[in-house]
Amino acid sequence: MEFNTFFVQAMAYLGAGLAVFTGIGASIGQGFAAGKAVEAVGRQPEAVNEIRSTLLLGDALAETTGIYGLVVAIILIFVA
Amino acid sequence: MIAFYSELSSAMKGSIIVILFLIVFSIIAGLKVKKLDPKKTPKGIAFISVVFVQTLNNMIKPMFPKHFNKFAALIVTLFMYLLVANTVSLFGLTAPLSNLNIAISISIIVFFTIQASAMVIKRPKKRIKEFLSPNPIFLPINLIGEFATPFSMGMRLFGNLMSGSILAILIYSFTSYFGIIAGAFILHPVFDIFFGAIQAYVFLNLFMIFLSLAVED
Repeated sequence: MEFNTFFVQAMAYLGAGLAVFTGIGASIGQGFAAGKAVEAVGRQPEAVNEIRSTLLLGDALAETTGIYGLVVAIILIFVA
Repeated sequence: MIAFYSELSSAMKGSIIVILFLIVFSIIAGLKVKKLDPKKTPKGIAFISVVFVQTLNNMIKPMFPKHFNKFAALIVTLFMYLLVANTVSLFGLTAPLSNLNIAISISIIVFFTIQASAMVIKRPKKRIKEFLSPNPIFLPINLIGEFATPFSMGMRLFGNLMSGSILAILIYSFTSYFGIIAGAFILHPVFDIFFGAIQAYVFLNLFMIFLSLAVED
């Protein structure tokens, strides 16, 4: 089996596909956060504004790992 | 001047246009606020800018009890730049943060701001003591933390804006009429306005938190 440029590029695309799997963890975490926020609103409907801003901040932070996977995939496809 | 401008990449052009727009807008708003009559309710640009600055000041003040005056202007400036730059692709420009150069320069700004102000305010001796806490073994981990937080802030912006533009390219190039409807009702509202504003807000919060951790006691 020879390792030519096509093989290297194919492996880079496979790696990009694998890197985007980080989205699984990020989405599960965001789902937990959203579920807890719904519970909190159900328990305390008057605090809905604070809960919403906290939820958005937490979601955007939890998204970070997924975004890293995306950046790695983009670099693998376009740069490497 | 024009030759220099035309050789830049499209994201850089967008960034320069955003900066010029912000300069002009801030000067006009500043002149209008200066002439404001304290007995009347402000209108138009003056009203918007007064409310904007007041809201942000109320957010920043609890985080910086001692050094509020030094850092509020910088934080509000970066927030304004990100807020306009992330939504600028609605007006036909490339979003500046979808270029890695600008994302990395944002993280460089954050890094040097945090390090320099911590050095000046806390003095090097106390700063080194902080790096060695709670134990000298933790020095490499603390150093990695100092580099990783600004880098991750830049990368987060880059990833969000880049994913938006890639999705826009995919949808517009593979669909015809459906793409226009999807772009008008899903793509641009979600990825340009919503995610752009959220990322600017998150950047504001993170910058405030890390700067106040480094500066305040």
